[in-house]
Order: sequence, then C-alpha cells, then structure tokens
Amino acid sequence: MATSPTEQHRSTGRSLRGRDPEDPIPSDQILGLDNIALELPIAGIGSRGLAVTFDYLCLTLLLFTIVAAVAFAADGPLDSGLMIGSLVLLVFFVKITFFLVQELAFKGCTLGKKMLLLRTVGTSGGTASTAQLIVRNLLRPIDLIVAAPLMALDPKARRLGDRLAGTLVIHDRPLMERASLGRVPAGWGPREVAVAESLLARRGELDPDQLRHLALRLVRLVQRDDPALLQESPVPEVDPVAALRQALAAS
Amino acid sequence: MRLHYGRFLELRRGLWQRFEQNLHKARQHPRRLNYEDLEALTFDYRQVLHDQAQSRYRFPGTEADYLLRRLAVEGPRLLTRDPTSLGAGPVSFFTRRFPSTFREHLPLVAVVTAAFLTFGILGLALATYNPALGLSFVGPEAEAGLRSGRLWTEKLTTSIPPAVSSSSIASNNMTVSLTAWAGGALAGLYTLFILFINGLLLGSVIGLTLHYSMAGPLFEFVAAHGPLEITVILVSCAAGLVLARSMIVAEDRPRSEVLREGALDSLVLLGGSLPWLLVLGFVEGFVSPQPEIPVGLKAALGLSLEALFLLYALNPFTQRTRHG
Repeated sequence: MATSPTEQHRSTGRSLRGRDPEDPIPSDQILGLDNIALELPIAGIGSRGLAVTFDYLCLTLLLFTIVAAVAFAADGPLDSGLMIGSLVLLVFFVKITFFLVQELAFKGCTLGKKMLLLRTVGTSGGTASTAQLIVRNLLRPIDLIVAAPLMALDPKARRLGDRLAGTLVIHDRPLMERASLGRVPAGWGPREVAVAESLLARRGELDPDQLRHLALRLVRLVQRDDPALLQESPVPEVDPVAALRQALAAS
Repeated sequence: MRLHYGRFLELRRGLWQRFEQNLHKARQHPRRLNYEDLEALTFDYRQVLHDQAQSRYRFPGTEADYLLRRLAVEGPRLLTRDPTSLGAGPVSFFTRRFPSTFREHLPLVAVVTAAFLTFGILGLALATYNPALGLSFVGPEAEAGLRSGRLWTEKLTTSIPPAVSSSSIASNNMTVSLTAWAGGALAGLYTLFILFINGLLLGSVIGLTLHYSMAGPLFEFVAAHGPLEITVILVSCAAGLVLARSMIVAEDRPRSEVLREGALDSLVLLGGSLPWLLVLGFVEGFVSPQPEIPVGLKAALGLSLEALFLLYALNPFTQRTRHG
C-alpha cells in the first residue's frame, strides 16, 4: 500500500524538516524569492551579546536620567503623589518598550545593533513587521535566561523570541568598493578570476614585493592563456600590477 | 554550453549597477517611489536573484558572486515586508482582530478559568482546614494584620498616596500579565505555574479572611476591580498557553508557520486585554480603598467593567470570521 511522504517520515522517525544528507534544501537554508537560496550574513552570539550589553547600559543611563530629571524638575524631594505615580508608570513603560521603540523607529536596529552594524530582519531577509518586533521584544525577559544556549545550538543563532516571531539578526555592513574585471582571458575559470580580483582589490594592503611577485605570476598566466590582452599593457617586468590591471581592464 | 565569466559580466553588470543605484536612491527617498519605479526595481531584483543563483555555482568567490550575494540580501530590506500583521490600524485591531481571536480561543480561556477555579478551591480548602498553612502563603505582614483584625490593603489609604498605589498596581498587574504570556514560551510551564500560584493564593486569602471573619472587608475592597483583574490575567494566561501550544503541537504543518501563527494570536490576546489593567490600576488606587464609597456602588462598578470587557471581547456586532 502506498504511503504519503508524511507517513513515510513518521514511520521512519525522520523529521520532514530536519537535516537529511539527501535533502537538497536543508532546514537551516534561507530561501528568498522564487525559492532561491540566500546567504544571509547571520550575526552570532558574540556580536549580539555585545550589542545587547551596550543597549542595557543605555537603558540604565536613560532610567537614571529620567529619575534625575524628574527630581530636578520637582526642585526638592519627590513628595507629590501624582509625580511619583507618573514616574513609576514612566519607568515601567520605558523598561518594557526601550528595545521595541528603537527597533520600530530604526527598522530593526537598536543603538547597540547600530554600533555593531546588526539588523533584525524577517526570515527571508525582508524588513520585520511590527507584530514580529513586538513578539521578539516582549519575550526578552525569558530570553535573558534561555537565549545563550539556544543561540549557540542554532545555525541561524536565533533566540527564543526570534524563533517565535520568525526573525533573524544579520550583519548590516555597507557595500564595499571592490575590484572588478572588464576582460577575462580565454579559459580562465572562477578560481583564477577570484584570485586576480582579490589581488587587485587588496593591492593597497599587501607588501610591495609580495604584490609584485603575485602580480607577475598572474601576468604570466595571462601571457600563456590570452597573450592578445597584454598587447597594450606596460612592460610586465617593470610594473606587473599596472600590466595586469591594463590586461584585465580592472576598475 | 559553459557561460564564460567575462561574457557573464559583460551581459549582466549593467543590470546590477542599475539595480544598486536605484536601490540606493529608493532608500534615500522612499516616498518619492511611484508604482512604476517599484515595479522596475522588483523586476530587476528578481533578475539579480537569478544571477546570484548562477554565480554561486558557476563563479564562486569572484567579485560578481560577492556583489550579487550582497545585492540579494540588500534587496528584500526595501522590497519585502513580512506578511505578519496585527490588522489595519488600532481601531480595526480592537474592534475586529482582538474579538475574533478571543472567540477563536474561547475554549482555551474556559480551560484556564476552570484550572484557576480548581487551584482556588484547593487553596480555600487548605486555608479552611489548616489556617496555619494558609497563613504561610500570604506572608508575615498579612498574617499580623489578620490576627489584629486589619486587612493589609488598608495601607493603600493610610500610608501610600492613591496616585502612587494606582500606578504601582497597574505596572505590577501588567508585569504579571506579561510574565504569564511570556511564560508560554517555556512550553507553558511558567504560565501554568503563575496560574497555580495565583489560584492557590486567592483561595487561601478567601479561606483565611473567612476564618478571621474579615471576608466582608475583603469583598468590599476587591468588588470594584477584582472580577476584571482576574479575567484579564486569565486571558493573559490563555495567551501564554496559545503560544505554548504552537510550540508543542504542529501536526503536519511547518513548525515555523505554526509558531508564527501562535505567537501572533497570543500577542493579539495580550495586546487587547493589557490596556484594561491601566483602568483597573486607577480603580484599585482611587476607588477600591475608599471607605466612603458604598460597597453596592463598588460591586456595580466591578460588574459593569466585567460586562463591558466581555461585550468588547466577544463583540457580537462583528461577523464570526477568523481575524475579522
């Protein structure tokens, strides 16, 4: 008798969404539009721990400032019942909403996350919704206890609030300028291209002798595979980096 | 046919640069985007995503691969928003979303109420048959007060200004509600613990006040705020259990989908009931401790608040469809 995939998985005790060496889409894979795999730069426990520590320092400072400001405004001891009552409520709401308000206002960032270039996003990398941000932030007190082991064990480093809200925290680094090749010698594969691009992108950081040596080796490869590209280049032995850039029309 | 890297760059780089520039512009001035701009950007993103999939397997480690991976991650930030939503604005949330969710989870609210009553009866029985055990639940201050014929609630009128007690009570009740809800994330265990403790405590207090002939003053104190306060906390506990159920029971649906739905429903239940605790804080701080207000009036206020909440939560004026 034929059984459905669900029944087969149940009978063998294997999870439908668990890791399976034969499964082309592992459970920790993040899928974007048209189910194309995305490589989101997931933030780990270290950077997130630093960000939240900074945020709690800011919260402490803010609460201290509020209490000091109210005391200063009262111009003496806080003897008005209404003032103390308002202060109690204000402190409560600031504590509850500190993280949430920031994430709503800065689209997934708090001050700590901004400092460490992190951002909260939905599971497919999109902007997290208001409901998601509320859920993940209201669960913060529970996460103070259980977040660390959960994040350490999860390939996407999600705490409990992230799991229930369907969010991720990713690195939010700006796009960097990189070398880009205008021409590619015939027969070059991605490996050779990546080496040339990486060398040209890092030419300002490398030791001049090493740079010259590596550039010369690449120029010789160009000479071997597609000598026509070197026709208008400077003499490689004099300035191999310039010759390589010219040959590959690198930006 | 193998695609040459140079040809790949030649054919596609223009599109990537255009997408990057348009994305940058759109981020700078999102309100200036019109429908055509957004459609063009989305169309380009789709192509970038396909190029990214291609470069990932054919040209890994190259500049194109690096750039496309970055663009594929950057795009959704502007172009997609998670569909999870609380409704179309606060009015819709309170008039449609909360009532429909409350009705949907009414059986769970009933189970929570039954469990609370059971724990309450247990506390009452313990305090009635063994008052010493009941006294250990309420603490030494309340014990001393009861022995001398005073309720611990008297300090609300004698030593604490009403505004302070009102805001403290409101924030304390909200903390209890939030904890009961968040406790659902620990597979519901902490929510059940809060339910158990509060039920046991309330039962013990009733049993002890009966034992010391103080039930009248206690009723007078809780009449105005008690019914709704307990209801709101029970709804928060039910919200916590909705969250817990989504963690435990997924049937054959993807776990992430069930979790998200459970978290959202539980958030709606919490968000719809929590504001009432502010009203109750005011009542408990300003009305309940006042001996000048007749007990009949306090009881009428308590029942009216309860009826108002149930009318709002069940909202018979909206259609009985999921999420309004």
